[in-house]
Amino acid sequence: MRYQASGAKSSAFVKKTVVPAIAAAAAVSLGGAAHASGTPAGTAISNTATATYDLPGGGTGTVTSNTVTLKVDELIDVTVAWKDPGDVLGAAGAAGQVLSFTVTNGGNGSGQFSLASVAALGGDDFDPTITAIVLDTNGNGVYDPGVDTVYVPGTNDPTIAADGSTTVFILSTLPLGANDGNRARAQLSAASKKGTGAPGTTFAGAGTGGVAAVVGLTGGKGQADGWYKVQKAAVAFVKTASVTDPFGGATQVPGATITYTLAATVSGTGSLANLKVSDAIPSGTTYKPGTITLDGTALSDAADADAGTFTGSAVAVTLGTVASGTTRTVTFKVKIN
Amino acid sequence: MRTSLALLALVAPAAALAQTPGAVQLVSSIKVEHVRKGPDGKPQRVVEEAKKVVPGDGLIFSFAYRNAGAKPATGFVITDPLPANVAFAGGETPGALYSVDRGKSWGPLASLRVPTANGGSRAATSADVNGIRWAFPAIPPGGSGQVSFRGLVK
Repeated sequence: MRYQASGAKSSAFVKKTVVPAIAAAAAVSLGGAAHASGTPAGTAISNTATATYDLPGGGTGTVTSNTVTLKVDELIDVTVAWKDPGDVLGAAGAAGQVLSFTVTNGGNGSGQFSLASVAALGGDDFDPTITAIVLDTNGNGVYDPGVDTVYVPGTNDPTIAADGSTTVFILSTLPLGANDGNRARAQLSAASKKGTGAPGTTFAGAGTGGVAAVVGLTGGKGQADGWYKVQKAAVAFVKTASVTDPFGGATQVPGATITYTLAATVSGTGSLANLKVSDAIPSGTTYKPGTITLDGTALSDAADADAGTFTGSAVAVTLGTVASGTTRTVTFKVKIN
Repeated sequence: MRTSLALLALVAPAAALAQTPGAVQLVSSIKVEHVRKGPDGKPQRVVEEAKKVVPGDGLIFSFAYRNAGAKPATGFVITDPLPANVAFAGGETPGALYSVDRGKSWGPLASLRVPTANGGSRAATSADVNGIRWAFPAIPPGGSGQVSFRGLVK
């Protein structure tokens, strides 16, 4: 007995079927961008099934199905995240204040991304002046002036590998008029140069290796806000004097000693840098050598390693950087001529 | 005599009834599920030819079989090794057996175990599946059907 030739057109018996259990799998099939990088764009997925059955006289017959091959297209997805642990603190008027962002290619193919920044946003206290977007050229995640390259749109758009990420910095100047505690945000956005649009939008041939590029759930672009907070410190000086006369009293007579106390108190938030206290010796008095103290510790009169100096007409003490909420106290003595 | 002939037929070895080579056909196809905005504006799932596939897409693997011969195809088993980069996602035609060791052993998923790094083993999950098969006692002459399962592009 002859069997029908197996060349019967195979497609003739592939029914247009309704796949069973369609609802059961719905939850897993809508994942979309949830897969970090996924199968690389251009990868072939090939499937061949086999069937076996008993042969007359024992043994097993094998039939191999046709092979179906799919090429994985490129998914375009990008996310931007602000990576500073909290508000970036800066003084009013300070330049070069750095916000750090991570731009992540959530797609399955390497791609270039264009970057943009916005400072004029609502919901904050002021607008910083963005001076540059900088790429983390040396890849250490930290802004290195002079090493990391300033971003120029269309010229050095960063290329990010599938599932890779890169650090991008926004540099801003905070306005002088901003008050202590004021907050402001600046936004970094990144967009795939392969295309953006509604999820599912397809760009034929735009993907790695010539496959189609398909916009993912992020729309092919992402953005994040970073925050600045102004720290404004102010210093107040309070000067007091006490007199000790040679007779054990407190009368201002020739020969009496006046002890001047200068208290410098820094208020607000942050700190003041290069703070220096100087006070001229009043006329009619003579500085008593070796009497400068800072917070109770004696300082020398010479311009040397310690902070105190007697210039011949004034006492000067270099306090350096003083944090807000701190009081530094300088004393010196003069004799009434 | 008639009776004994009939008896003879009944006791004939099964092999004599089995199908000969080339009489069974198997065609595989893959379709993809996409989510589109339907006419009512709500997203709806569309099953279509796999022209565009990206990670995260759901795939439907289907295998159509047909016994084009004149005898039953006994001991009929359809086996599919899951392609690399595809995760098993359920939705399979009932009666499937699974492999989590690339076809070395087969069984219901609940019976399978996966070795762990510390030398022990753990119960297999659908994520471990790397082979699926269906076994039929016999496909009658002219009989056909289809089995399918779902996969997810990794």
